[in-house]
Amino acid sequence: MKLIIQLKTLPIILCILHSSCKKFINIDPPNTQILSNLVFTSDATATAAVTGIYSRLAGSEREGFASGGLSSITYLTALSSDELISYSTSNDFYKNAINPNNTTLVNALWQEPYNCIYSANLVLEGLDKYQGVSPAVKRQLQGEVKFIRAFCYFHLLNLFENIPLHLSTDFRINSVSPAAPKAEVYDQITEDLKQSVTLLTGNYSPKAEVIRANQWAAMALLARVYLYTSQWQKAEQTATSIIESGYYSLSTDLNSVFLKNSIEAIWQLKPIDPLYNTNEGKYFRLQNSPLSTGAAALNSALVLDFDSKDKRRRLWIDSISISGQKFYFSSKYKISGGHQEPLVEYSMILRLAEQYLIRAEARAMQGNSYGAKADLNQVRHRSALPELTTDSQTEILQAITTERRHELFMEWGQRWYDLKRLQLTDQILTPAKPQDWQSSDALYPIPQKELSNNHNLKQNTGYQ
Amino acid sequence: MHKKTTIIIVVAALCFFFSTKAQHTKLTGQVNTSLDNKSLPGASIRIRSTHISSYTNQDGRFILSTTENSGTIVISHVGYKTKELSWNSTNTIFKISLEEDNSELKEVEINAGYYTVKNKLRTGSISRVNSETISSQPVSNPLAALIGRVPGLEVTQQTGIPGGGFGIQIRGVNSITSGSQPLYLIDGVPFGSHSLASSLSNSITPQSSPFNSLSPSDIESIEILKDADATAIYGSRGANGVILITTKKGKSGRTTTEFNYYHGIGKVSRKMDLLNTSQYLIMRNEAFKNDVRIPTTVSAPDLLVWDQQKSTDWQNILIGGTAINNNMQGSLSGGNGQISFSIRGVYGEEGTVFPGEFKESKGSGALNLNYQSIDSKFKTNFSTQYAVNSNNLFSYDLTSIALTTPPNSPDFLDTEGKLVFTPSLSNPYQDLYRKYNAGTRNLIGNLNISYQLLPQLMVKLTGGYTKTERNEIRTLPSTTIGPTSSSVPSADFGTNSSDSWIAEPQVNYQNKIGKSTFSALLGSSFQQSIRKSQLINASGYQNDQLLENIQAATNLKLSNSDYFNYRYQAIFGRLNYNLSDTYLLNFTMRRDGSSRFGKDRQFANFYALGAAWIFSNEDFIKQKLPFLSFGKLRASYGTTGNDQIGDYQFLELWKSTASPYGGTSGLYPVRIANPNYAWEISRKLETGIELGLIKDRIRLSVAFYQNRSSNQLVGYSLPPSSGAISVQSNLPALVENRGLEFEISTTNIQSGEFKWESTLNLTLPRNKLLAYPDIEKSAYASTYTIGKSLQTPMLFHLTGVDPKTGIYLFQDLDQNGKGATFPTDLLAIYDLNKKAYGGIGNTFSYKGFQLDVFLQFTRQLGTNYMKGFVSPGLLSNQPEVVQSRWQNEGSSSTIQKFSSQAGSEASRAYLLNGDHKISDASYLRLKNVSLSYYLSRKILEKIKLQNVKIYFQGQNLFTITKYRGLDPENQNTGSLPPLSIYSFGIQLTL
Repeated sequence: MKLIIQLKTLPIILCILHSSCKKFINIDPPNTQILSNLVFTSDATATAAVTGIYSRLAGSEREGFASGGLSSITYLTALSSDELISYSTSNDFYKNAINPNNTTLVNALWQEPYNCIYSANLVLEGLDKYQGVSPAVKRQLQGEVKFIRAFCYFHLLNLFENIPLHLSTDFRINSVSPAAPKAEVYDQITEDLKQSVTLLTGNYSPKAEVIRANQWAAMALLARVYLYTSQWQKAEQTATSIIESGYYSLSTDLNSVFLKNSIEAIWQLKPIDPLYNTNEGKYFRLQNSPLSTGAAALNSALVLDFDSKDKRRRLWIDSISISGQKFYFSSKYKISGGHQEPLVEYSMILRLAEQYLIRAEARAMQGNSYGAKADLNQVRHRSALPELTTDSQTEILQAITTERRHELFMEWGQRWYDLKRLQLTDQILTPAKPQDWQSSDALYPIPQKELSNNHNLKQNTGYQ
Repeated sequence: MHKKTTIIIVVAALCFFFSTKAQHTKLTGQVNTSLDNKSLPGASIRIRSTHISSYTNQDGRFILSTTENSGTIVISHVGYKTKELSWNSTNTIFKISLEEDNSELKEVEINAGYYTVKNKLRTGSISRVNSETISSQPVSNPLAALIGRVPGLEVTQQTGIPGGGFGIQIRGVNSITSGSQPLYLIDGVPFGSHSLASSLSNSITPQSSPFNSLSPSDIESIEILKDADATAIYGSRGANGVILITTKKGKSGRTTTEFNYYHGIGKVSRKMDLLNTSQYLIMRNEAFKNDVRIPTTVSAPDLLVWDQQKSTDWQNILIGGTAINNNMQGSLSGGNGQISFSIRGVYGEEGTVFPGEFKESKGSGALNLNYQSIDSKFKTNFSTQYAVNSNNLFSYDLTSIALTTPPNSPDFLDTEGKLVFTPSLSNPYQDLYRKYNAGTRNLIGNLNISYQLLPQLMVKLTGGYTKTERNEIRTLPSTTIGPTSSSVPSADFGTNSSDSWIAEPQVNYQNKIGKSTFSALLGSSFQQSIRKSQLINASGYQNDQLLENIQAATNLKLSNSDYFNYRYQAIFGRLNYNLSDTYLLNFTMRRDGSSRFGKDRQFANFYALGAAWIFSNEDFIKQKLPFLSFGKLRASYGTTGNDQIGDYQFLELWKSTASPYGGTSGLYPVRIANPNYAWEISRKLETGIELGLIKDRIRLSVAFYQNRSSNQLVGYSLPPSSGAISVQSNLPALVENRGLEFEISTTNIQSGEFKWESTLNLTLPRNKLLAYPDIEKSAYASTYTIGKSLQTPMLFHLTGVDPKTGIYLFQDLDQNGKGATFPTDLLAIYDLNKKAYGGIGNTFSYKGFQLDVFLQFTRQLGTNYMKGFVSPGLLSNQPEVVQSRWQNEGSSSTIQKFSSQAGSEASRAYLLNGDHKISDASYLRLKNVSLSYYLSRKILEKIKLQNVKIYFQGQNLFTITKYRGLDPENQNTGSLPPLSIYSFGIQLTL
């Protein structure tokens, strides 16, 4: 009898318990983290979400493709091309025999830029989905992340070529995307950059920091994209707008080019490790024999290629001598860090000298040798080199390629990309690396981890 | 007015006093034990037909008052036969002696968590390890005492360093990537099994176990719940089994004081036979010759710079020391029938085998209080324990350095004790000077209140709280940074804490109608657990002396800051039917809600049905099989779940970046969120038979189990381009664990004072991935194979050493002529799951002596030393076996040629994920020997002590194995193997 009463009350008790426990297990987000719907409802947090991407580029999570360190595009492509000699017994990049499982390849060159792309897409979606960010800030942030997305795709495309193009954050779509055709990726990059140019503002104080992308940064990258896609007229126009903007000029002192807020800096990344200045300074400046550390030194062929009068040979290249052997290294960045020096150097990503060289090449390709020479001589002039006088288009173009090699060495894969887009890889690298070079090495392999998890992607030729 | 009331009260009180006094009868008496005629405190005396009852005091005396004139008194005490005596007004003084009741003592009550059950009557699969087994082993972590003791329970000690972790698995791995940890409860309070250690301790004490703060001597019993019948009441967290730890409680009776002290020494249990200098130099020279290279001072300092005569086995120097262990325990317990208590304290120290003074020390105090009302209706129990652990170790385990440092390498310290940095060698002493300190504080408290509302109905409330805090410091002093390193002096500070509470109201119903007994239980559970962690990296110090002072750093970086809140709610119940102790049915259920799941996916139901038939109670069995003293058939089926996934996986969250950019802090997305994943379900089936033969002198039990887990919760691998490497998701995979478990215990000889008892347990497990639709298109295509176990790695298959080139040859399955190609040449051949494991124990006792010998065995394949070593010929020492290498064309060998270059073809072949790194790892280990001597009564009476025990205990005394490597248990050349420990001790009872 009593049992029956008990059983009758049971459903009631269960009901009460059930409704209360639903509440009980609905938890708040952790107090160390913040939900998306709150991020995109205020200017400050939405801006922080974009700051996070810059932070990541600068290496806050790991030293990645944009960090300037040993896992950066600068260093790795310098090994793959003819800029560095590695003294390590096993360096995949130097040997042009990259294993698709190479962790640097997977993490630094593939995952890091794609992580930035994911964040950029998430910011774009969040800014659309939630309300609360002021229109001006919204335009600014949209412009910045579109620029970052284009920047990442530009490098992924030039390193790997056959890459998936993700424009949303939906993992169900992204995990089965096939590779997008090269032209389609370039179209997207161009579109993103054009929008950035309209969304971002360009007026800033030339003494201010340029550690976030502005209109000119988007334009500078756009000029390069036009150059890479042989749209000479557009390349020339875009470069001209930057050169004539009045915000930038070529620094006359070669030692101050890579300083923070340098007069020719269009975009720099500010170092995040307070004990060091840039990773370029930390890692590229040799302190010990590369024979014992397995580090890489500047290829003496590059050093010898400089004209003896060239100031860059003296000011941008340094060396150490160990037991009679000389090892060269890039000294564009002067501070190796570790001793709490004040922060005086930032990592240079886009600078004016390149725009002169872009315009020179674009002009030369359009038959404007006079204009081409004028631009080229701007750059040669500050290195104390005589003016170029020839009128032959071939010679001017050759001079531009050489000038790019001397001006932009150990900067963001410029040499590696130049060899590839000018189809010089076999011609230059077969004699430089007779044992290692194969034509198919011009593309890096798609990481195995990517292929294993997305069966619609294919490995690049030469790595199957 | 005032006066009047006072008078009335006084009169009334007097009337009351006299009226009661007038009718009182006083019953007094003395209760003794019948065996040795000693007074028996704490016996219960009850006057039948009334609620009047009392207990005997310290001297065994009692006084009872009643208004009746005659009746019967009932005298009872746990462990003694209950006696009834009649009394009347002339017969009020008693002298009672109670006879010991061995049958009741033997009837072991098994703790099933929310209820207890007599071992014979249980329907589920529950194993029990008692305090004797635990205390016979000189271990500091209670988990270590379980190794080899329980069928179906795999315990792997991961390191011989004090404070290190243990791998624990009950009946195999059910889940592809989610945790396979069992649920742990200490006195009913869930105990977080995940290590609170920060990444700082990854190397020195991997997965540092939170159970280190628990003293084995405080434990009364450990129950391991395995099948659905036993675990479904724990619902979502029962899939991987449940481990219940019961701490010691106060016992009514004489107040006893106990002291225990032991001193032990430990040595590394196994070393590897490595090359000596002359053998090593032959290897190096041949390696250079094979590669047609000329050694230089940079590539071969061992050949050209270092001493060519000096030969050191670095194992002796770096891990060859003696660890000193000391442990002291004291306890006081006693009480009368109403209140009992127990107070315990432990202090222990454990050393290491590394050079230098490193140790872990721990102290703990525990209190237990028990109260019950005279009518036994109201009961309450409170217990609390506080433990402090601290260790001063260093940052990295030296084991792998001890194995690989060339035998002629120069000494690492100069005569003044300063570090000597040799180019191309890391100095192990730099790690010794890089201090790593960890301190853990742990508080556990629980309260248990119950009230018998009706004779059949009891209400109960249990509540518990645990708090664990761990602080760690790791330093990198400037003196330990080599000249070529770019590191700066720094210190890391880790703080981790976990706070959890539980409240469980319950209703218990029990009624006996004729031969039938019904029991029912209904309860509800509310739990919360909050974990916080923080890791700060400090640098910019001016002075090494100040490294541990965070204020002296000019640069602080918050490397990690986490907060997790986990809430959990459940309703559970049990219905049990028992007919004449012969036919038993047990139904359990639980409805669980967990905060780890997204909206509308939070709740799930779990249930199980168990049944048992004790056929030895049937008359026809008794007649036909008289030698059968006990026989039971049991079976169970049910579902349990697993929610061992991270918190907040369904929320799209952003976190602050560790380093600000341009002066402001940034945010980054923590993960790709998936709001759609749901509970993982395990279906468990079990049947078993339990037999007792010849008056239970032989007891045998066999169980067959089959667990199938579906809807697997995994961090599903994504292509990295999608923004993360994984997303929390459900997989359609179906994993099966099945196996047979045997347990036999026998009393071989029992004649006079000599007794020999044996136990054997054996588990034959098997793990299999039954189904996984479209696995070839999934991320796991080259990780798992359908029809194989989850521990069957896909590897390149070594076919031998090419007699021409002397390099390893791997099977070219895809016949593309390129040798080992990923993934088309991968094969899943070797199952690394244990094939069989168990233990054999023997106990001999003669007069005051008792000897326990316990052997543990495992049959398995495992990863050998090659996983942790580099290719032979490089600047690194090797085991002696490499001497039988390939030497010249045409010679045949199983070891490939020596090579001096890391990038050479031979080195790359060595590093391939091939099955040359797999070999037999079976072993038989003398796990424990314990010899104790109890002083005889005569001597005890002279020295006025209750009991004195002198003992020797040995742990991991020797191992028989063909394993190629250091230790077949942890199979890791980077971790210190478990130590062999010899300890002597004495236990006094006052």
